[in-house]
Amino acid sequence: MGPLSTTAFIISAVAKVLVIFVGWLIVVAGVTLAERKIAAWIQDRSGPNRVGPWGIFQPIADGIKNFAKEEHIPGGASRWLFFLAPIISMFPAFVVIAVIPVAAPLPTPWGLVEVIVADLPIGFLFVMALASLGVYGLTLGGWASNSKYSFLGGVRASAQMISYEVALGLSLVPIFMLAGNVTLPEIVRQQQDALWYVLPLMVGFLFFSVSYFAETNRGPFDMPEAESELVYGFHTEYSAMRMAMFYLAEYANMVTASALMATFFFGGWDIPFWAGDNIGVAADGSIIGATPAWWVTLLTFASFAAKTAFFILVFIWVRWTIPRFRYDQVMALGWKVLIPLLVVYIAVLGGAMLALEAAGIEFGVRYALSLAGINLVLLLLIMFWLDRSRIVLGGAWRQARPQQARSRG
Amino acid sequence: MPPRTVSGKHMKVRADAVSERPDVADVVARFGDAIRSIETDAAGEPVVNVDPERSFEVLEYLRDSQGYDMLKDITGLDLGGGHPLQVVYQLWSTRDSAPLRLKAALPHDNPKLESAFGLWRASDWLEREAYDMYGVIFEGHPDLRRILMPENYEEGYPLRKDFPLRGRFSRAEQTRLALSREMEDLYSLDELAVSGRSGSRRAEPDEGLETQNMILNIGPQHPATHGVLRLVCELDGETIVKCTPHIGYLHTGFEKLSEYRTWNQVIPLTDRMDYLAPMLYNIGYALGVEELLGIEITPRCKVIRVICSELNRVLSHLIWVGTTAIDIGAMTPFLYTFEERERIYNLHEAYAGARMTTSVSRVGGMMADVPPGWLDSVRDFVETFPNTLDETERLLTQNAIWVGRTQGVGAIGAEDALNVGACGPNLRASGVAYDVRKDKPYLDYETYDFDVPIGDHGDVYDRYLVRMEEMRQSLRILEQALDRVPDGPINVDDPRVILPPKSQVMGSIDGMISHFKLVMEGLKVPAGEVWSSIESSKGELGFYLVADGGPKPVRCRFRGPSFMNMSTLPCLVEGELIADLIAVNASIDIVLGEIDR
Repeated sequence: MGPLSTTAFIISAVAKVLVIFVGWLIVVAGVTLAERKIAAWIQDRSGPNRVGPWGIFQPIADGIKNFAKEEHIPGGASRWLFFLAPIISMFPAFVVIAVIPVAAPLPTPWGLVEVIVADLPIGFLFVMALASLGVYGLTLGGWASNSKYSFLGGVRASAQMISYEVALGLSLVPIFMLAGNVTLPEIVRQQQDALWYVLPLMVGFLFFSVSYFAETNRGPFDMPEAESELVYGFHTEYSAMRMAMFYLAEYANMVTASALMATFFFGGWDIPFWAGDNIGVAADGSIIGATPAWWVTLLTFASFAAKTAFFILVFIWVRWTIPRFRYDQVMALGWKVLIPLLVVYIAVLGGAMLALEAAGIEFGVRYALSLAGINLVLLLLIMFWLDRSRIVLGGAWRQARPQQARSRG
Repeated sequence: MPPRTVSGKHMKVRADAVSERPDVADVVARFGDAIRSIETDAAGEPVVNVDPERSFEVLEYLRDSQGYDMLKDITGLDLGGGHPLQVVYQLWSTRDSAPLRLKAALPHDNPKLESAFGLWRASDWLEREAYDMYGVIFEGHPDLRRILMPENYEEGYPLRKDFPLRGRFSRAEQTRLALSREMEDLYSLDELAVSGRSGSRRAEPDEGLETQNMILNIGPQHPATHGVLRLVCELDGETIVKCTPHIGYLHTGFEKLSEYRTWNQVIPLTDRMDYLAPMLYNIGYALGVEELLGIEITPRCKVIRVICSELNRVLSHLIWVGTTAIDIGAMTPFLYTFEERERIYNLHEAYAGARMTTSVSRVGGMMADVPPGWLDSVRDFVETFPNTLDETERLLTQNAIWVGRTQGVGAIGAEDALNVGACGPNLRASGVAYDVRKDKPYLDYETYDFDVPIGDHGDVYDRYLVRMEEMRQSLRILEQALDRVPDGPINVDDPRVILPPKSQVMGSIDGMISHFKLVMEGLKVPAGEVWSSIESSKGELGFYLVADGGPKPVRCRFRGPSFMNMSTLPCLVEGELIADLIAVNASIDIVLGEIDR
């Protein structure tokens, strides 16, 4: 099979855009339901169960409700920005998915079709660029509402997201050091050849997930919303579909974040311990490795979906388990903990890679395992430091606080 | 209905009262001419009538030299019928565990008194309330405004006896007045920074950049105000420069209403104040009236009341943990605790028929004996509840975010906590070991084996630890109480107080007469007064009851712990962040029904 003809390329591109984006919307709607069901499960209650069996049509009912409701624009609001903000917020959240490969290439009568909307050479830089745009929606929404709560939420959103973008960018540097590339399909293929990056880059994964939690404004980092403090933060004054768009953006960001975690650190659509999906395409369009087949594409897609679903579950699980940070604590964590640690980590990792190359170890499983060992040590050190002998040295905790309720007989 | 009067001496004067209490004797010796008389109330506590001109001196001496470091209450008292207006101070010495009441008589027109603000910051809201309700002007109070009634209320002073129950103005006039204020004025920086005491700080103009502090109105409708409360905050960025609580949105006039009802008819009012621990309020009030009557309730009733009290303490602490967790961003513990609350509400329902407004007590007993099997249900709860408590603790106590959000936030030391009037778990979290159940036992609490948990730092975290431990201690008390429930009648055998059983009403003339008299007239409480208090879930709940021998109270003063705790909020949050304000406001455990009364 050779490269696609121009016509086939255009048709396949249109088909991919339609299938992936429509699928994406359905997934995002499903995640809103999943969040409510899982939250209910965690909290010993039923969750939505009125619309359809197990409430599966709840997202549709919500959609109809939101379309039918009145759009309220508060007095003194900046109408244009108020109108624009949810769109600005939603657009990047949905476009980012374009560069994520969701399955192994699909063989068709017209050639091999990569299952990715746009294999951009700038790869992850595109994700970073668009993710930064999302903050404008929040900030403008908060500003345009002419409400103090919204305003404070907007200010928090901009400060938090800009801070954590630095940490997010830094936490990806190790991947680029290891992969030497920024396109996502390439990163997936390298993980098939060696190990999933979560092992050689454990610490990077930890920092990446923390930064992305903050970047998506989900609990425990939901400063811009903080419903008990700022009512609903930047979207206090929003109603009906505009509010729903903010919600969709939040959930789309969450799904994107999960997909990126799967892609960067868990092999993307790779099925572990099986060579049947190791399909590569050489520069001239010829296939290297296993033979592509439609069922392989389906299986790899299932693998990708399962990994993404797992991270979505983690997002939901965390939100309903732990309390919210305070604003200054979030900023301190970003600037005083994550960024300095990441800089040190990058330096240590660079040194380790230099040493491995000097020792003549080629990039492969052994190389990755050596890095994994170094990472494990670093991870334990960081955990121990973050723990400050609270859980690891459990008993010391209570003694360390003499104010632990004394008793009076 | 014309205002009732109290004839001449409504209190017995006991000559030996002076010699009994050395501190009282000392005060008399020192301020001889300023002490007008010394009496004892129905519970045998000393009541010192002082010259209003010198009341401040006496208070200062009592605080500094006699160890009366806790100001429990300042309130007005109008007996009507030409008697002078009185201001009543209720003091407590944590050193000697002894109460003392001070009274100062003032003329009805232009009553003036020196403010105790310089001695206790706790007097801030108490004096504002006395001003609001009785028109007593406290000279030297920094911010003497109305507190429960609207600031532009013009009808007078509601708790004076010459004030009609329905108010002086028509409903239309009241509405017109309420709406006549220019709303925009209420939202200007100057107007909102009303109380001038903490020096409203405006940001310095910085290199030509004109900056101004922002006023943020938290409430009356806000997810974290736990009711209808308005906190006006002056913010510098997110830092609180000043926080001024505005209360009174739920003011129902319970104290005024009580004066128009018979003693037993007041009970339904009490559980509407603290609807989060209704039985505690029912029981506290009944205990006060019984003290005034001088009757001893039955042993069974005492134990049942202890069970009800401790169940309600758990009930109230559970909602506290849940809502505080929500305010700090953890939603899940709330639902765990609510599931357990639901079980207590089921117990309420099985006993009282109502889940929230239980009205379970009666003067001289309870509304009924507990239904069969109820005590077993309570035991089942006591045995299974610790699981949920442990689970909630696992979610919070050592959680790094929870610890980071609560430790060192809203901290107040022991001395300051006493001075600003914190009470209950908040006071104990600051290290003051004051618990009415230990210091002035009622319902035989001295025979139960339990500990009073105390914190050291007085921050949100310590308040959390103290309340969690109190729930465990309540369970201990419940276990002991369940083991000792005696058989026998639940109500006292006294036809003047308790309705006779139906068989007697129908079958004997004596029964019918006492039933008729109790129903038509209500029980009669001999003239006298008492300041009785219990340890409610939120702190010391005081009832200052004055009777004139008639079927209705002359004065029912409910000194609620939430009111006192709420008044400490401004001192706790200045200089903290908005998120901390929410955490602290949740941590002091308020219930607006009782604050606004």
